[in-house]
Amino acid sequence: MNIAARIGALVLAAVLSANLACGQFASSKRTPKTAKRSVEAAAQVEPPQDSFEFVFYYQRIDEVIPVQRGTPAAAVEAVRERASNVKRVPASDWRKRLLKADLTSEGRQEVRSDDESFRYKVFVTKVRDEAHLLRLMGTATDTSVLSDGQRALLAAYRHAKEQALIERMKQGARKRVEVVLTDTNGHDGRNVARDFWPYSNGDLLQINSLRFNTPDGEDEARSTMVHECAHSMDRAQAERDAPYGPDGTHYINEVIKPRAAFMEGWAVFLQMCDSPERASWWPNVCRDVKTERSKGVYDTASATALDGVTLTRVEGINGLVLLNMSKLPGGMEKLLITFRATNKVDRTLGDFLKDYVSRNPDQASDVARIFDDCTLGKLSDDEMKQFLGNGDAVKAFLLARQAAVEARATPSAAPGGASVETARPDDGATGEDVNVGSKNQRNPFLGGTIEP
Amino acid sequence: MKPLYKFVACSLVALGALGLSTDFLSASEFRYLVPGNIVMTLEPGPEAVGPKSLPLIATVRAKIGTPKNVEVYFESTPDMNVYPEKASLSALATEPLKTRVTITKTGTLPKGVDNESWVRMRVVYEPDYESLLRMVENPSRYPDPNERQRLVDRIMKNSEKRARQTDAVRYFPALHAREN
Repeated sequence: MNIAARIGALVLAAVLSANLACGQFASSKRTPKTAKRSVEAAAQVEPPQDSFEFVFYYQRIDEVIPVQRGTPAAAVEAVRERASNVKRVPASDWRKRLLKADLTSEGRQEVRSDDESFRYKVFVTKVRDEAHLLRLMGTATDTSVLSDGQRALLAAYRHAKEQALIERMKQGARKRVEVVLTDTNGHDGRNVARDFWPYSNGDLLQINSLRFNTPDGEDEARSTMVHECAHSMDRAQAERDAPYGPDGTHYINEVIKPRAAFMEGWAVFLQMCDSPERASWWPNVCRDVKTERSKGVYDTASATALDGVTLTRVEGINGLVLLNMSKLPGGMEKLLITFRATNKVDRTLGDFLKDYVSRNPDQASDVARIFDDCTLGKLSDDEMKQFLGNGDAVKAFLLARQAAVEARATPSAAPGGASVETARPDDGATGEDVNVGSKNQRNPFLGGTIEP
Repeated sequence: MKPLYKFVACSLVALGALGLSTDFLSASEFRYLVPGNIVMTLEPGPEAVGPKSLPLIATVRAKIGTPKNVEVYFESTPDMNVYPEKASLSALATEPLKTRVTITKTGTLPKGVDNESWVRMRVVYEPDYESLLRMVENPSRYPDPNERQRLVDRIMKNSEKRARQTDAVRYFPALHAREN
């Protein structure tokens, strides 16, 4: 027993050390040697999963109880609660961290809100099939008696059963993902929305009915399901130090850290793939970019006013790059191969693009053009190479880009002539929001982005 | 020594779990929610008249504006009867409307952890879209212009369709019986 305990402790120490070392490695700046290793590793592509399954849990909030504080009765209650061994796991943060500590253990449970100001009495059970889910939500077959939020949960469940999503999930890192469908059951406080907000921790994802309790909630729920599933495909991990900025939340058009930006960009990309409405709306959102100056305080500026590297740290722009690449011939299949090939903890947009270009040199020029468009032509040649590699096609693109800039500069130098912004032949954009004097050539957010 | 190893092992498990799983976290994307239209509750009422009856107090009120063409349904699992079954209102005000709902036990459900008796209040109504719009168009309440516009667009679309919304809450007598 003693020896077993020692071995166990040593194994755990090794796991912990590896974990910490991995984090340190991932967050440290890569040296050329490690970069070379990663390029070599990127050449190998792990095969898709041979199978994939979602395992669903239904979680219903039966009661929301405010926690009394500062009174003798509250103190007595707190002591009694500790003594009675009531589960003291907060509703979201700790549960996310402890993975399946209690989220998928069945039966009645009590959980606390993140800020400890509420207790939630919940009921959790594993969902066997759609008929079972319907019965759990309070109907046999007639979905018209469900609330809008419940119908949205059902829509997400049905979407997850579609073969197309299952096949996509096989391209990811996991064979199995647990999905907690939280029925907020008429409880609509801000705390409920916050504590049961949709998330994915990789192995487990959650969505709740309150978030989608509107007549158009089903479409929103399906799209959110796609977003969270995209995270569950991913092995990447956001940076350890405030990846989303001081307030921990993020907007689609916010400047965040590079790894986080690609993780979120991947999720946004898949949402846009599945929703033409979002694919047309979100690029417009990214015309303005938010930067979190201090906790929760944002500056908003036109994307044209920012430098190119900053633009590569906006998740919506990462998503837009991927969306436009998916429209190249065979683009989606090729993107998924690169997704698998680069599915590692410290992946960034640069890792992804370099891998894609090295596998598909015939599309390197198109990818460079897409990337240049999405970053408003703001990246220098060296910066472009950092993201795309130094292949011949990339170099050729950069030479052509320089020639185009010079060609445009020529008419403005003509004596007595006013500065003229000439559009390129495939330019569908109007030229709005383009900084005169910068090397911008067009604004992809106004349309005219690359089509196959 | 043995307790020390156990302590070390447990600490390492906890630290490892926290360290590993923290990495998996992805922050939640910021989204404004369409504001809720109504508030509804089902709560235990005064003492029952007979041993098989359960009185509940149903409360419903508008949270934003004046929802129209409101239909309130009271439903239950097959082991109970509910009275009244339905109520209609032309509009719903912000003052709470209360009504007593009587539940009579008429049988038993098959045993099973997910075979519980329940009573549901379901409210189907047309939201006051004008009031919703006025609220979400307020930049001090909804400062992010893109997210605000997204809410405006969604509400406009629903308004054009005159889409009716369904909210529901269920009450589980067994949960409260255990507490009492």
